[in-house]
Amino acid sequence: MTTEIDAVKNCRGVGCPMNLVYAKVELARLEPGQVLEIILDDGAPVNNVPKSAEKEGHTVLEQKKLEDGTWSVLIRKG
Amino acid sequence: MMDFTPEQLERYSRHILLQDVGVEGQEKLLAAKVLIVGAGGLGAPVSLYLAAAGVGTVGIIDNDEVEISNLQRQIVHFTGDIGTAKVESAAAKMRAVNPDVTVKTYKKFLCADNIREVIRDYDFVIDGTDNFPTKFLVNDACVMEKIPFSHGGILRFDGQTMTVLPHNSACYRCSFRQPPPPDAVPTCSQAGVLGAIAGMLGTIQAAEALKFITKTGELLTNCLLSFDAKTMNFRKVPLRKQPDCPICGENPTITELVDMEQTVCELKS
Repeated sequence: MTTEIDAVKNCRGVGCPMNLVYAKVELARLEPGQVLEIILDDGAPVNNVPKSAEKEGHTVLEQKKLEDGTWSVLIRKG
Repeated sequence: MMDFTPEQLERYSRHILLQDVGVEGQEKLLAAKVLIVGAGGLGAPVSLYLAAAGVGTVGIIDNDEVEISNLQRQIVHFTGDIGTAKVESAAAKMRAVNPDVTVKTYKKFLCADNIREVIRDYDFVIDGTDNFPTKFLVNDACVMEKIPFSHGGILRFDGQTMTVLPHNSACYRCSFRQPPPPDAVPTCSQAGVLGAIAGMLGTIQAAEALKFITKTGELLTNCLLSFDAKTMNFRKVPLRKQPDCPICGENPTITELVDMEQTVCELKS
């Protein structure tokens, strides 16, 4: 089953905390229930951004490592 | 939603990261208008923090020029500003901190004849004045125009502040019916003031303005926060809105503004 994605944000090469700032801006543009795909670097970014998003009431649906070593994270707006 | 530039996202990132502020809160700040009454000890930190925070329009009113005796606590003014209008000195620093901010300067004395017209354009007012008649004038005008404001005062080692939501919370006059008689309370120029307490109190007032605009947390309403920097004791004294308050009560007796007598000591000879 594939999740419908409403917005995509590429945060390759974007460190903490600006990747979370971009995630919050993208999520603010969406309606509750819509899904953001954000591409995050390995390490601190993928360890921190999904947790912070959950703390703010959003749901992390999926985290998938991509071929280039970055991560695709699907976040449903809460 | 407004379009932030990449530079703005960086500039305001520490606000946007806060769950209680976020993108929406920063948008509210950029759309907000705050008036600072007095470009002195309290107005100095307030003006810098409001500009840094990206409050879209900051008005500042003061009729004085910068003097060397101001510089011990009025940190928005520099030695090279001596002799220039305080509002222009403060405005230059605010614009330098953040070009997103529109600064409006009013080089005049706030008085009964002009205060309502000036404050009407603003969402929130900061009382950073140094005398009781003007503090009561700010209170009464803000109650009449229903504009929320932060009261603040400092002397020696002491500071006090309260936030007023007119007709919803206790106003300054609910607790302090009228100004003390001239000479009953000395001004800073007579009694002295520890420079850093201007920052302690002014930053509380700035934080209240930011909280009000972003609808975050609980405001300092229905209480007076006071501190003594000698002991660093802070206390909150609960206050209540008074039904018989002469300005915000059920049957107000103050229906128009009049200028009260200024105390002798703060009129420069």
